[in-house]
Amino acid sequence: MANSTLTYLALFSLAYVVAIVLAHRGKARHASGLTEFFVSGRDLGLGMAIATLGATEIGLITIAYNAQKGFNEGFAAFHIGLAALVGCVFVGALGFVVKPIRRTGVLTLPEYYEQRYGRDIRVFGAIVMAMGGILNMGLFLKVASLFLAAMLSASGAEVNVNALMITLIAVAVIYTCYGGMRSVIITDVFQFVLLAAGLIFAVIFLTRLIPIDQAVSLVQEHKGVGGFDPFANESFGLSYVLWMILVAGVVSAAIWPTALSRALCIEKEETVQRAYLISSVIFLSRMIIPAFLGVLAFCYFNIPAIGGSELLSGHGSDADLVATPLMLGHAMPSWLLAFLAVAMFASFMSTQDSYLFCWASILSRDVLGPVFGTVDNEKAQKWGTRVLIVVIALYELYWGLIYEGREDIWDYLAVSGSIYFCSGIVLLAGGLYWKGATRRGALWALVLGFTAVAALSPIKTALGLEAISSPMIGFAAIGLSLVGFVVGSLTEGRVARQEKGAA
Amino acid sequence: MSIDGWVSLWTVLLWLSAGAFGLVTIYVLYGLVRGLRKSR
Repeated sequence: MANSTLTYLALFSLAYVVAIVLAHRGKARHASGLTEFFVSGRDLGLGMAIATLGATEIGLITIAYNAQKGFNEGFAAFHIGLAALVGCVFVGALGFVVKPIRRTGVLTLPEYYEQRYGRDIRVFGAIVMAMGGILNMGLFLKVASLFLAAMLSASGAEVNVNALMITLIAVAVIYTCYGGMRSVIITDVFQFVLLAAGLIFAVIFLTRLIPIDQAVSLVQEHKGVGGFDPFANESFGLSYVLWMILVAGVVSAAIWPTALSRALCIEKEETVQRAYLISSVIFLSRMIIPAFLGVLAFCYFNIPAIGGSELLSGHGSDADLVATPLMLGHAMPSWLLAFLAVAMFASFMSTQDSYLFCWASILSRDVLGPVFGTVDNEKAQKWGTRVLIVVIALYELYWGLIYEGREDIWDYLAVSGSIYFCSGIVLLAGGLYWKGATRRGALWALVLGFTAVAALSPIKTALGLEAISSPMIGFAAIGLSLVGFVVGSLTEGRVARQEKGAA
Repeated sequence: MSIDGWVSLWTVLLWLSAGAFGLVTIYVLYGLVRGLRKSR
């Protein structure tokens, strides 16, 4: 089976690479100018906007962490998808943040901070944004490599994880540096189509092997009511569900820079809301389908007749993470496994390029640019972004090797992301919807929002906060940031009014 | 809500997810083909 898998893998990979190269060559004539480099010429129509928005938010990491949740928590993990749908429908229906931010005409989000609060807030906000984002993507590479290696090894094709990590990151760095946002979006569209097709084929194939009724019975037998009811599940509960509506829904769609930057690329302002509204079902699918694969993996390794249990033994604390790829590699025919592996590789690339480009462009344009006076220097901006893409990729390689937190991957992502979004949601929504917002309020919000870092597993342990759940720490950080924002703005506004009255 | 209620809810959402993935994929492919035709 290993030989036929590798043959199919080579064929599908070749077809994918040829398609991507042809697509890039066709678009190469557009590649000049800051608007082209940072927001893809701001020419996205509805279809492309939906594809790139969906693809950015469905990476191999998304599949891995949702599958892990499904494996550990059963069908109850589906509530994350429902929460994402609710949050994204809210954003799409009201145009919350996404519509007014597109109207401002900025190229990056911290640029809006400067428009609204001043240059120092732009620089400080960009540092916080990039720090949260880069920490957030720290595990992408490691998880992707483990996932792909486990999937292929189960079919007999052994792969070196470290070599795979280096190859994956090198490919992403090369083409992201080459074409900027245009490259990112072209890859996104290909990836979206490939991954959606691959996942649907996989679900159809696997539900013929393990029917849904059988999966329900097995989950009920092993996990009880907690395998279905998120409020009865010990790992979830009400605060977790509310946290998910905020994180997986509102923040993922309207606050998280990799998603929100897509709103800046859309050609017409009126298309923005429609793109988000339609994409809300993708925000549902991206959580539920991989979680379902995780549930099926749990069942797969608990059905003695299938005989896959020995595959899982020996993986120690990574067992819940590699269970789904091991099932895929063990159960699926060679051609489907190879197709899915290429789709997963593409999905890794599309998220990786978006994230690398997003954080590098923010650091180049909103930190180095204002500090060295090169904001409008096209050459400096492009080269600054390219160098930072390489630096961030090297960090990711390093972080993938050293981080040893104990939380599920999804919880790590939610917590590390909260370092930015706890203050980001306050600064963006506050600036766009409250006329009284001021620079001092923004500064206090940024500083206080940073307290979200206390929810990271090693820091939580060091501070003795283990009894408090991460969602509660996150909500507290948002609350503190909001209080700082309002109090800071009101006090600065009062002083300004008094000075104006005295003059 | 009973387990049966949760199972019904999650099953509906699962098929909605799969259907949405399929429909959006077709829509994106249609947009790509239309874009290619226009560019020629």
